[in-house]
Parts: sequence; structure tokens; C-alpha cells
Amino acid sequence: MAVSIREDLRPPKDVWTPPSARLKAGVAQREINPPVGIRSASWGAAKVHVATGIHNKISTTAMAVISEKNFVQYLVTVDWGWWQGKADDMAVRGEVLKALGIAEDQLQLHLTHTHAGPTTASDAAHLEGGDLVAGYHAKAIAGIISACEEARDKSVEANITWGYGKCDLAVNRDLYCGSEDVVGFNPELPADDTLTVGRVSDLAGKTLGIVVNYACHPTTLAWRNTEVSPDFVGSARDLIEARVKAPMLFLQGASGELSPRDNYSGDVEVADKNGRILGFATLAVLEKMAHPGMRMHYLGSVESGALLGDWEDVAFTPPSGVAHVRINVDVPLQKLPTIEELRERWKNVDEGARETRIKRAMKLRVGYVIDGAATHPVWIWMWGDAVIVGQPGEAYSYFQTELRKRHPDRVIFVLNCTNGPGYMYLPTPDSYERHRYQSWQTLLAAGALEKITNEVSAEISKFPKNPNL
Amino acid sequence: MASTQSPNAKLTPSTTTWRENLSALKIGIAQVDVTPPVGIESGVWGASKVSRSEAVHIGLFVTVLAREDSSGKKSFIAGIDLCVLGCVECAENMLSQIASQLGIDKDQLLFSSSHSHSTPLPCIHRSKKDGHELVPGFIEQIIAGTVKACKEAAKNIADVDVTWAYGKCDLAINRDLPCGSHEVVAFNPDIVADDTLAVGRVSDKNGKLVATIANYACHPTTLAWDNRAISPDYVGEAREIVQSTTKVPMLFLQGASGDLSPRNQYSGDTGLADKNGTNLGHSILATLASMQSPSTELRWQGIVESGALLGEWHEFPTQGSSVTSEKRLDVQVRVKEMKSIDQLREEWAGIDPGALEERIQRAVRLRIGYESGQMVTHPVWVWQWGDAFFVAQPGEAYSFLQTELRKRNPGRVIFVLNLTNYPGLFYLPTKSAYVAPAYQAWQTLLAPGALDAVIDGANAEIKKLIGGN
Repeated sequence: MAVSIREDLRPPKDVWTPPSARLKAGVAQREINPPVGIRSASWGAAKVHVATGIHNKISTTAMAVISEKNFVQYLVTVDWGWWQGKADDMAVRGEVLKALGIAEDQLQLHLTHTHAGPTTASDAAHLEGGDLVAGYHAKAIAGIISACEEARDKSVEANITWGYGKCDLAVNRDLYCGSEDVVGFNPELPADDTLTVGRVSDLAGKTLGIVVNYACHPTTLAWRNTEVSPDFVGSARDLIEARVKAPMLFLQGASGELSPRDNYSGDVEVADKNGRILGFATLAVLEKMAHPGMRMHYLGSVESGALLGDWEDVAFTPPSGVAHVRINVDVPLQKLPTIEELRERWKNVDEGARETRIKRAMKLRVGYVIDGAATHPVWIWMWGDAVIVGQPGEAYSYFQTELRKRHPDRVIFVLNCTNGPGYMYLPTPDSYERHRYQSWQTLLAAGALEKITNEVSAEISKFPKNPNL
Repeated sequence: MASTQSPNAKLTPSTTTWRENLSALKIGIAQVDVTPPVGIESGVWGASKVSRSEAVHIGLFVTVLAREDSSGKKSFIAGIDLCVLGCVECAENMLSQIASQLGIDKDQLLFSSSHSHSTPLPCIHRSKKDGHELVPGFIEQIIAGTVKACKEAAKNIADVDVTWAYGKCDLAINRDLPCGSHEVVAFNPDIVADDTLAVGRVSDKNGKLVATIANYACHPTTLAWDNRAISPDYVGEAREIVQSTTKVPMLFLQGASGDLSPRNQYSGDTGLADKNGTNLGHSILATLASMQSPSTELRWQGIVESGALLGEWHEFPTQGSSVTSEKRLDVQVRVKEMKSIDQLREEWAGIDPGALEERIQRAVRLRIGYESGQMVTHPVWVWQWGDAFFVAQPGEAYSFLQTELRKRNPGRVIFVLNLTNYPGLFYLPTKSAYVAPAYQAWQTLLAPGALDAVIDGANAEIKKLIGGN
């Protein structure tokens, strides 16, 4: 309807552009459920170390982006926990790279960090349930490759909308208990609640996939649970996929000190409940997003009961810039204890838990600590207005809050548990002072996290900026 | 399964109990359809060229919570899909009849409009446009529907447990947009909007869900002058999403949204209202999912030696607060120096004649009972229901009312209601809005400082009640 428009009244900035990208992209998903009976041993306190059932599907989801000269990048997630060492990582990632015929830096292979997943260890054949591991890993590798190929082959011109939202699933889990800190819900410290979402749509507006990045340890299910599960990621994904009819790719954020408030449970319904918090929060963010490929123009001021201002959706071409860099950050190491020193340190701990800790500590070093020094790899990809920062460690949320604070004009996805080596915590300096678990699990000394943050931030600053944001 | 034999077994946090805001009350809920007949004059837009409604997008409802105190006295919170009460005379007529038929004092009822701008105005004085002949019947329908809902809610009163929590929803944006010499009511991308969502979950003594309550601040102005359908605006779809998931009624209460609206608005597309409602609905569901089990608190269980040193919390039954208070405050505020109606006609002489008449009619009906410069009372109801407070008043307060009350009282969940009861059916802008000058500052009859007086008055009452507990 024609209304009275006052052309004389306009805001100084009369275009609003949502963060977005125009890329050739595709998304595909494969179910990679393990067999019941497979080794599943994430918890030192557990008495059962094999899977007795499957709570929710274990899957892998791949997103391919093809830029100039058919350069393909793969962002891939798997509902697994973490790598214990470089050999385990490369036994899978190496096969994927080889099958796809790509360089290492074209793939970010991410683990969602479920603590109820099948083992990722390639040296578990001698353990209960370990006989099923090699066959299962072969199946999973085939699934990952197949998802990547499908994502690549069905890539089309796509409008991607990026956005931040909020989700209050995560709480702080650095709990002061006098002389020691314990990994448990701390009601007195706030947690980063940032939720980062990407919506990939074809040029007709059909949703092809949803990318979700949120920082929260999937530790709902713990030593009492004996079923394989993606933890809260499972029901979050079910909820989102049922509504959008497209795959959801979940990326674990910098959750070193973050977990659900309700965790360490044996009840899969608690995992589903936690997933609903994330799932509904993600669906809310999707509704706030502008329509694919649209931005808003100030149409004019309208005389009504009040003086109103009308904005309208206008089609535009989002930025299609792609950039990628891998950096290797020289990081300071702690004085590394010998096995004997570790045994002495944990002499009062239950034998099973102690040996688990020692084994983890030693595997971490292989391929990462070389001649007494270490470099920490970080992959930084720019896709239009978004930046995807992946690294293998378990960084504290400082990593993501700081990068987002320093670069408010971009949407930044921050991924823990991605590629390798460097499968260890990146804690804040106070964690070392408080002798937290994260500070004795890691090989790195205080200052590593800040150094990595600074170097990543410097790289992001070099990427071309979108003047419209 | 705490590790009681561990040398770390004595580690304990300083706080060993954590609970949400909980109430144990006697409450009932009911919901009644009050959708008027198609053809009724609907919408409140000066820019609209058609007054007669042509369809129903989603039906209009009144939803009532009834509470009974230990003496058997009942009080009611009624949320209704209405824009505003129209004028003081019609408000007086409606609420007096409702109170009389229920046999209660008027201060026992909070009658709160959701503020949808796509509903008929229940006022027999203000407009005589097409479809106005159906307005008196609609007023009777509101009265009968509200009385019926109150009686049914009273009949449903039972012992319940209520969990109160804050969540986040990013539907609202700031709508004070500077455009040269004027401030226009439109999306301002440069100012951050309050995204607080207050939610209550009412459960019976078996833990079964009975009702939900949502309080969010955002003008329901998705649908505007091009819309011909009767509609609750975004509240409709939000309610349908929440109710279809929870299977119980939801009471929606409009917050202090004087400066807040959806980003995508002023539309004729009911699909856009649904999109906005989907955002709010999913945010409410995320907040509900984040709550602990009804009437429980978390208690520290001790440490568990695992791969890391873990701390366990478990849910235990607890009792919510039954402390209640329901008080009306008469806050002293000053009327501004008002321009005469003739002066206003002269000032607005150049605008669209329809818009001019809408503004003049609003101004004439609004100022009945108010004179320039005099001190008047602005009513504010402060109700404490256990751990939650309801602060309700008839005006359209800026979000500063809720952000400030919540900041000053962080330990409790505070529901802040605009457009509740009468008199005082005008904006309560911040002092800076008078300087701008914003529409809200010339619409209101009150001088700068009124909003601060309301905040101080409500805050003092809350402090008194908390201190008195």
C-alpha cells in the first residue's frame, strides 16, 4: 500500500548487512555407528569399558567449500571424543587425506568431544572390546571419505548467513575446593554463552546445512553410562535436523573449563535434555537470521500514529572471499615428568585411574614434543565474513571470547579438538596457580594460550575486511 | 559414587547447595478464546487505509493464572492478546465489570495486554471507522472471556511448584533511530537491545507440567498497515510452538518494550510474524529445558577420582518459597507542559490526514484527567510470588525499567509488565528520549524523571520484601 514517505528523514547509515558469504558449498552426513561391544573407555572411574548399546547415532558430517581453481576445503566433524596421540589421529586423518588426494591444510577434521564415544585409540586391540576397533575405524574412515566426496560433488553456489546467538547450557567447571580445584559445576563463575551458527542455503533459499559452534564439554554421560552416545550433541542435532530438513554439523568450541550443569550422569535422558537446550537455542538463532542473500535498506520514514521508519529486504551478493593459513606457534613447555615421577605423583590414586592418567600423558608427547620444544598448529580459514579457527587442543573459553572481542566485525568459529598434534589443554594462567587438572594434563606452560591467541588474532587481522559490516 | 577412600575426599567447595528461584504456591491456570468476528475494525495504524479486518491469522486468547493465599483470597494475572486498553473510560468500564463479576477488588487483578498492533481497540470512543460497530460486542466478549478464564483458573487451583529462570532471546532490537532532526521509530543497528527472557514453569506435586509463563519485551509490530488479519502478532506462533511442545497453556506477558521491536516488522506478511514468534518460542523452550527438575536443588556429593579429579552434584528435593505479597504503589510523577490540541493540529498539519486524525484522537483520549504541570500518581503493582516478583504498570516503559530492577536485585527473577491495568496508558521514556526527541517523549503526558520514580518506587518495595523475608 502506498504510504506517505518522508524522504528528508534518513539515518546516516541506511543499509544493514548481515554477516554472510557466497560460496560454492555442499554438506553431507553419514551414520558411522560402532558395533555394540566395542571398547568405549573415556572415564577412569568407569567399571565397564565396552559399549552395551547405542543411545543415539554416531555420525560424521562434512562441509566442502570450493573456491578458485577448484581448491577444495573440507570442514568435517565426527562424534568421537579426542585423540590420545598423533598415531591415532593420523591413522584416520591420514587415510582421509590420501583418499581425497588433498594436502593436510585442506582438511579440518574435528571431534565433537563426546565422552561416551567409541575409542579412538588404534592400539587397543588387546583390551576388552578392542578386537572390534580396527574394523570399526575402517568403516568410519570410509564414512568420512564418502561424506566428504558427496559434500564436494554436490557443492552448489550457496548463500551462507552467519550469526551469533546465546545458549546457557554451559557452566563453569573450575570448582575451588580449598587447596585443590576440582572439575565440577562452579555456580559462582559465569560461563561464555556464545553460540555461533551458519546457515547454508542454495540460491533458491533451500537450506543445505547448518553449522553450529558451541563450547561445552559433552560430559553429561560419564562412568555410570555404558551406551555409545554423541552426548548432548545427539538430541540437539535431531531437533534441528527435524525442523530444517538438512544436516547439522556440530563443532565443539573452546570449552576447556565449560560443561553442562547436569553432568556425570548414567541417564541418557539427561543428555537429551541438555541437547534440547542447545537445539532450541540454535533454532531461535536461525529465525533471527535475515533471509538468505538478503540485507536491509532503509526505505523511508512513514507518517503514521507515530513517525515510523521502514526497512525492507533487498537481495545482494554476499562476499565470496576465501583465505586460509596454517600457523605453527612456538609454545612454552612445562618441565615434563618421567613415568616414575608420575607414578609417585599419583601414588594414592586408584591403580586403574593412575595408569589411565600415565598412559594419556605419555602418548601426548609423541610427535609433538621434538627435541624438547613444541609448536602448536592452528588452521585459520576465512569464508566470506566468517573465520573458522581450528586447533587440536582443549583451549579455555578465553580463546574464543578474546578472538571475538578483538574482531567484532567477523563471525568467528573457534574449534577445539581439530587436527593435530597438540591434543592437550590450553589453560589460563590462574589454572596453573590453582593446580587444576587441565594444567597438569597439558604439556604446555602458562602463557601458551595467550601466545596462540595473539598470533591467531594477528593472522585474522591480515584477512581482507568487509567494509559493509 | 564419591571416592570416599581418596586422600582428596575432604575437598569441598565453599558453597555446597545450589538452587534456582523456586516457589511453592497454590495456583491454577485457564485459557479462553476471545477472537472477535472477522469484519471488526482492527489494527491501530495511522498509515492504514483499511480499518475492517478480513481474516484471522491466529486467534486471540486470554490466559489467566489464579493464586490463592492461606486465607482463601484469590488474585489473578490475566494476559490478553490486545494492543492497549484504549482509553481510561473504557478500561474503567471493563475492569470494573470483570472485578465485580468475580467479586474481587480491582487491585487483585493484573490485566495485561500483549500489545499486538493487529487487534481491535476495545474503546467505543476513539474511532468510528468501518467495522467499529462490532467493537462494543468485542468488549463484552473480553469481559465474559476474562471472567470465564478467571473462574476456570480459580477452579483449577492446586498446590504447585514453580521454577523461575532468566533466558535469552534476540528477537528484539532497539527502535530509536536518529534521522537528522527527528528520531524515527525504526530498527537501529547501532544500539544493543535487552535480550532478557523471564520464564516460569508451573508443575503439580507429581512434577507434571501445568503451565508456563513467559515475559519478554518486544513490540508486537511485525504486522502493520498492510495487514488485514486479526492477529496476536509474534506472540501467536510463540505460544503455539511452546504449547504444542509442552501440552499446557502459556501465559505471555509483555515486558518494558518502549524502545524495543523486532528487526523485521511493519509488514503485511503473517509468515513474518510466525518467523518472529518461532524465534521467541524456541528461546522459551531452551530456557525451560535448562531448568532442573521441579522442586529440587543441587547438593555437593563429593569428589570422584577418575582420569581427572571430578566433583559431583546431585538433585535433591527441596521446598520453594511460599512468601507472598501483593501491593499497589502510587508513584508520584509530574505531568509535562502539554501543547494544546490546536497546537498539535498545527504542528502536524503537513502529514497524511489519516495519520493526523489518529494522532489527535489518541492525544484527546489520553489526556483526560491530566493537566499540565500537576503531580499525579502512576500506579505500580509489586507482587511477590515466592522467589519471583511481578512489577506491573499501565504505561509503556522503556527497557531501562526492567534492566535496572534486575540489576539492582540480581538474586531474584523479576517479571516486568507494561500495559497492565490503568490509568497511565502512555510511554515512560528515559530522560535521553526527551532530548532526542523520540515519538515516545511527545506521546507521553509525563515529564522527564517519571520512569526513574517508578524504578525507585518498585525497587524500594522489592528491597523491603526481600529484607522482610
